[in-house]
Amino acid sequence: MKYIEDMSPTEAYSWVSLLTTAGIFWYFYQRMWDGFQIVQHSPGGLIEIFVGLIIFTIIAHAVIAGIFSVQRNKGAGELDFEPREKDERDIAIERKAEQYSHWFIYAAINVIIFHLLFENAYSPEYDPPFSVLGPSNMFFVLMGSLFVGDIIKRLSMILAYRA
Amino acid sequence: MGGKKGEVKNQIKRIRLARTDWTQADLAERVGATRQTIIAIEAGKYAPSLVLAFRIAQVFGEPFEEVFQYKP
Repeated sequence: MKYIEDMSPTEAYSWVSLLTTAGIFWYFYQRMWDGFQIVQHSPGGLIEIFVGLIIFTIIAHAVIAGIFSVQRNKGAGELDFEPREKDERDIAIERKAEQYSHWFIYAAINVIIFHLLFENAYSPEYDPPFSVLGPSNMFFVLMGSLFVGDIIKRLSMILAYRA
Repeated sequence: MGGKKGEVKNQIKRIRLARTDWTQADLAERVGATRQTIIAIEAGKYAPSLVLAFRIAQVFGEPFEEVFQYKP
């Protein structure tokens, strides 16, 4: 419990965001992966998943932000010395974590482009273990990269707070 | 260019305990930071910005160089 009590509001927010993102990613993974390969959805099915993920993500983060905002405002009148906004260390940690996330997504997009070009140019000689050809495969790797990038950001923040 | 990185030392904990009865949370509120940031600064794990460093020296009523020292 000491660990939780010692957290700043922004660190606690990072934990909750991490768990939420991981949960949404798990849902996405379940919809896209059948245990051995990617499920080939129809174009309409992919749009449905995509829109569903966006709506679910927005609602989840809005609810979390709302809960934390209520907590902060409640504490403000009760000699709770936590400031209402992030302080400079929180901002520095978040900025660094965003950098790590950005580098990961940048690298992932480059790897995806590399595979896409080589699969198109040299198929069937070039046969990677994971194909990016086809809308479902491409959707999976792009969305997966965004999710992993976000998870890296949240994890980096938590590690920086605990360093 | 380059060279080795210097280090910013501080006497915040010593001054806080010796000259005030403030807790870390009290100091955090006075300078507009979180308690965790004050903990990190006192432990030397985080170097504050110039603005925050000057604010800390100001709330102690001490000269800046009394609170913060640069070790090349």
